[in-house]
Amino acid sequence: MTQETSADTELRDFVRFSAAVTGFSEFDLWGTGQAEAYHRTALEQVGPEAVRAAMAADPSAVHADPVVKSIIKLWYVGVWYRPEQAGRLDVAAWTAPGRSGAKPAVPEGGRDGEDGSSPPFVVSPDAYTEGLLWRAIGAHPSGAKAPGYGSWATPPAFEDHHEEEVR
Amino acid sequence: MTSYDHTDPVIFPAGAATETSAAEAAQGEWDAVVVGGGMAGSIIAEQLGQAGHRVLILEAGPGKDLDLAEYESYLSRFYGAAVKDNQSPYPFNPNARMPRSTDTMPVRPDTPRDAFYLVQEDEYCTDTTFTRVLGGTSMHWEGKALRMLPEDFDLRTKYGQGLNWPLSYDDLEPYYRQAEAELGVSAEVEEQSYLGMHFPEGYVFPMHRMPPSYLDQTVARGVDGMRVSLADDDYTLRVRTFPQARNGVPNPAYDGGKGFVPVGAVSTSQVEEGERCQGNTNCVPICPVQAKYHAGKTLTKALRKGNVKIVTQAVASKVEIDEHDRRVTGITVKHYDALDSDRYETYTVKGTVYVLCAHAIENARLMLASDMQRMSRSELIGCNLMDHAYLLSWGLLPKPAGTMRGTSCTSGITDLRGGRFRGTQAGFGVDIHNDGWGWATGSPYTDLVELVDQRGLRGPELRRTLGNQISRQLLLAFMIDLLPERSNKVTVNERYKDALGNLKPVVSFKIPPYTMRGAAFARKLASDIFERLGAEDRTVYHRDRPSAVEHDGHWYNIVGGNHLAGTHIMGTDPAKSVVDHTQHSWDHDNLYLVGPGSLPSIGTSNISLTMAALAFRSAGHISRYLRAAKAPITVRG
Repeated sequence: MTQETSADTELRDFVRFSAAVTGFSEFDLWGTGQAEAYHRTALEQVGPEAVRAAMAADPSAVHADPVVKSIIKLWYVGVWYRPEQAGRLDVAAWTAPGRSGAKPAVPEGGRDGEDGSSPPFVVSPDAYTEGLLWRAIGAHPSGAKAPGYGSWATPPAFEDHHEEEVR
Repeated sequence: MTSYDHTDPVIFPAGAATETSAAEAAQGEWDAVVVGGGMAGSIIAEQLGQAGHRVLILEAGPGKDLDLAEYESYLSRFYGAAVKDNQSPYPFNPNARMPRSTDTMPVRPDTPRDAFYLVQEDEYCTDTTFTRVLGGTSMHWEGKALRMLPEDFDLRTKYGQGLNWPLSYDDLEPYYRQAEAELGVSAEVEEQSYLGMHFPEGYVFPMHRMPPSYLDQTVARGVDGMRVSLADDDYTLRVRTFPQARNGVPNPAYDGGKGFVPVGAVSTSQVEEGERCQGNTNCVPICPVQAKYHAGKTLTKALRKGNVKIVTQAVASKVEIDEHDRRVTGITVKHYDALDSDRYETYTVKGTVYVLCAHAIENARLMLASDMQRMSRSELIGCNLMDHAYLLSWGLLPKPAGTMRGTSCTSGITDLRGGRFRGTQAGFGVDIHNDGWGWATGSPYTDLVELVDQRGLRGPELRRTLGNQISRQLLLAFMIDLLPERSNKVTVNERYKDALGNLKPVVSFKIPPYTMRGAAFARKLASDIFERLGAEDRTVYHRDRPSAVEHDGHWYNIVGGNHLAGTHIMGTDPAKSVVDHTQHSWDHDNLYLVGPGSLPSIGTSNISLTMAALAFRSAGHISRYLRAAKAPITVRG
């Protein structure tokens, strides 16, 4: 039998925490195939200390640790928004798929943060299509996992999910 | 009319995009040199090729064959792009830039010179775009394929507004059918026979209509039968599906019972994909399966003929003119090595006839950069730039309506496209957007940020609230007519050049009061519709955006439609138009300008179907021109 390493344990903890804050089961989260990539992204972006502190904080608080907010959004849409960008609707708008009427001007190649730090990024093309958002809204990612001809004519159905309290 | 053999798989000839070098092309003597491998250029090339002419297409975009791997790289780039605008699937190309809606801002003296392609110096800026890759803007178009109304062709005579066309609906009708076959349009004749639009006895569209979305059905329950009074006339509204250039269920009654075989995905090998829409909700900026028509489907047919060749990475930089007889003597192109290099070589290609099919802004830009305005009797090159003015209104329905599913838009309200009110205010069509508030607000990502960051929702409550909130979104997009105005224009200025030294287009575009009167009425109508649906109106306009327009003391945001037209309008008088009814230049005997630039008005139809119909019609005229030019000269005694 192989010994579980501390890295494995950290990843499991990350997924357990993520399940509580996203409202999806650990099984759902592992099923996206993104757990390792998201854990690594969080560690690289804010460092292990900040990730550990975020996971220890009360996740239900409105003014929770902004790193928690970044982790939730990462699972939902595959984009890493820096903690300092929490609440920025303009930044959210230009990362959303679709037309651009509301999107503020951004120079070619993406927009750097005003403080010169990195702009938001999509972790990988798969991270976009594996976003939890699409399942939450009873739809599919725009441009992927198409539901089939005429599927749009029927009433929407939302996945029946177990209502758990945030731990 | 051409007969189509749709039983052939659409296989792009491998290597066709690169096998003809610019040097070889410059040595050849072509019957027709076509600038632009988009919808108009592909139709012209395919039709002239079919008639036996030798055709060269010059394409500014990257030199890759249209195959599945290339197409999937577009898709993958879109998935991975942090900024997901109209152009996000396509690689950044400094040598043939495209406007990006994300660049929409007035250029100031301190704006970095590389930060934009479409130069705008006014306070009002349009976020309109066009795409410079093989297949052109048809790669990102939504695919609505409406005919223009019969009354659109003589707006001046009927309502004292805009310009008359040198053609009537009936003149264009057979070509509309030809375009509907080529683009593969899904619709029902019974539903599309309104406001005077008529079809020959027994005609059916190639495919049945796209099923209306559940959202459409929800809106229809509130709107159908709604009465509107406008300029002393009463109108009854109903929700109606749009004709779409998107593969659906073929109509067995098509073509006298022969039926229709949809054209699926294009590749260098046979692929089984794209023969029917799968509901990817991503028509703009890219259909993942190619169920939506794009010009690559026509281009493939053209290139398979052998007498049609293409040179890619060839940016048309100058139209060479003989000062004496004003005939075009060649097109000078800058042929660049690669997307990440500004190294290029210059060649001049020669043909008997030249056809500019580079879209409204690029056609004008190229002619102006070639100093052709001084030879133009009308001096209207680049003037009369048009685009549909879009006014968005958005609300929250009382119950989930399945938003974010289906094609981008399946239905709308089209009863106010025509009528006597057009004497004083613009007509419009209304789109019911299946993709929610995204266009207006950046939803659904902005909803996520609002709920997670601002309201602090977590876990199951977050998940449930997102579903409930987004599935109730209703966005009505009013597509408002905009008449030709001489002052709305494309120009060039030596100050603004791209990486290859080509002049960038400078655009000045303002929304005229006639259009704004339509917008103000549209805003009121949206409120009434929301009220009937029990929807909470969530529309907000911002006066600090480049899209802000004031009218009658109120501010609105008018966004672009990517329906650019009018920069070389057609007419009957060389002093008042740039081309005649065949899109033949009044000023240069062997030059045709084919594309939406020739439209003297855009009415309330997305321009592509009309542009395609005009291209089919002009192809016949160009072929006749070539036959006459090649015929031995006979001297009549």
